[in-house]
Amino acid sequence: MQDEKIISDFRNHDMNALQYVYQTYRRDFIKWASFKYSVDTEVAEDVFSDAVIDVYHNVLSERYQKSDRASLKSYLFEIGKNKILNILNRQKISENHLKIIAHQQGSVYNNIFESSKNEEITNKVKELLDLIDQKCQKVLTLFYFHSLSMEDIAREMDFKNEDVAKNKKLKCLKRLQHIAFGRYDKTDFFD
Amino acid sequence: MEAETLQRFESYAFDLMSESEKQAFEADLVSDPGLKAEFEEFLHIVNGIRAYEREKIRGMMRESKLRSLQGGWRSLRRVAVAAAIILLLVIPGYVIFRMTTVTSRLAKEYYIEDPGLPVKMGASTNRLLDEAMIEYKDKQYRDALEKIGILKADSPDNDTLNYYAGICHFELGENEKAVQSFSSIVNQESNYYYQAKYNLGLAFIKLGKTEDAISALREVAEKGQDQLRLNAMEILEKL
Repeated sequence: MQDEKIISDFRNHDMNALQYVYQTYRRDFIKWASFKYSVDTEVAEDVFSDAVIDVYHNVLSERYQKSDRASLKSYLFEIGKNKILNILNRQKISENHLKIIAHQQGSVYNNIFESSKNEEITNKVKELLDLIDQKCQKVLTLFYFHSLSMEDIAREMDFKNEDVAKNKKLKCLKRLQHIAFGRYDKTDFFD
Repeated sequence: MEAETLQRFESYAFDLMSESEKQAFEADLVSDPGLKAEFEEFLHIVNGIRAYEREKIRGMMRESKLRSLQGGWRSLRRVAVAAAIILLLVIPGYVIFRMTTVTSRLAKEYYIEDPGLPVKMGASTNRLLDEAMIEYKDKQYRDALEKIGILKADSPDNDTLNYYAGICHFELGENEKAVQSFSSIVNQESNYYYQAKYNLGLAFIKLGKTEDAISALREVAEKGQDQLRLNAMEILEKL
């Protein structure tokens, strides 16, 4: 499949394209990562699946520009490489690796969300998402992860119009925020 | 949080503001600690939502990998169905064929998958063996065999190489070749000796050579260790 086709499929939120990229490059990446950075195959596998999702996400959020890149594969491997370097950084494997990381940082992880990451709260929100109703889950993930417009979300979820979708998103976000940060009242649990 | 505030947060976070709007928002964040705290909460929530969806997609990709494996199994089952039809048609060979199928099932039931050698590239002295192990762990037995073959050219009697060559052949259904590889491990002090004998027994079972299988497995049942020994004893009872 051509890169252009994959990117176009990503923009149409076609999960088969994601699967295609995963299956096409998985083996090459694991081999390459294992040799080049001395990581276990299991780590390489985890990094790879994360990198595929990053590529998808970056295409949707317009952070990936095809014209700037040699190929989607190179871009995917570049993201994977940075993830591995971050892992090595955390493990403080060697001075040499740290120097490389200092040089590399900023290329992929320079957005505002990365700088505000807090694992404890992230995990809490993840758990809460499992508890809230499915419509809330869907509206929030379609907007904040898949970058769908409110108009598209309204169409996808059979809301009357864009404004109804917006209200739903606001309500769901507030509910999640209140529960996550302990400021909830009964309106957060009952519509 | 009000709708207007949320829209401002999103516009800033998704880089949709003009330079002047951005500066005004940043000034508000500095002068209003409440707004700043709320904005940080917003970022945390969005991070959580993204992490949640990411995990779901990751699971989906891996599930699909499993599905393709199941697909492989389904095609094997189709082959088995075709074989059964042939069995019914070719009456004279039926009894022998049936016995082979039963014993093959036994070999499959008692086969213990070997996870392969750990691959630690940085510390490794033998890159080609590491490459072979990666192929092996990825179930690319033909590619693994190719690399093991290159190594074996220099060390034809190496136990490790012969053992994994045997496993690869066995996995590929090349039972004659598996027998050759496993049989070449003759040193009883080798770490692979009883594992090789055990797998040799299974390969013989698949080939329908029951007497040879009994001979190999008896040695494991008498002198092997732990699970291999118990398995060998059970198989011998069933043969």
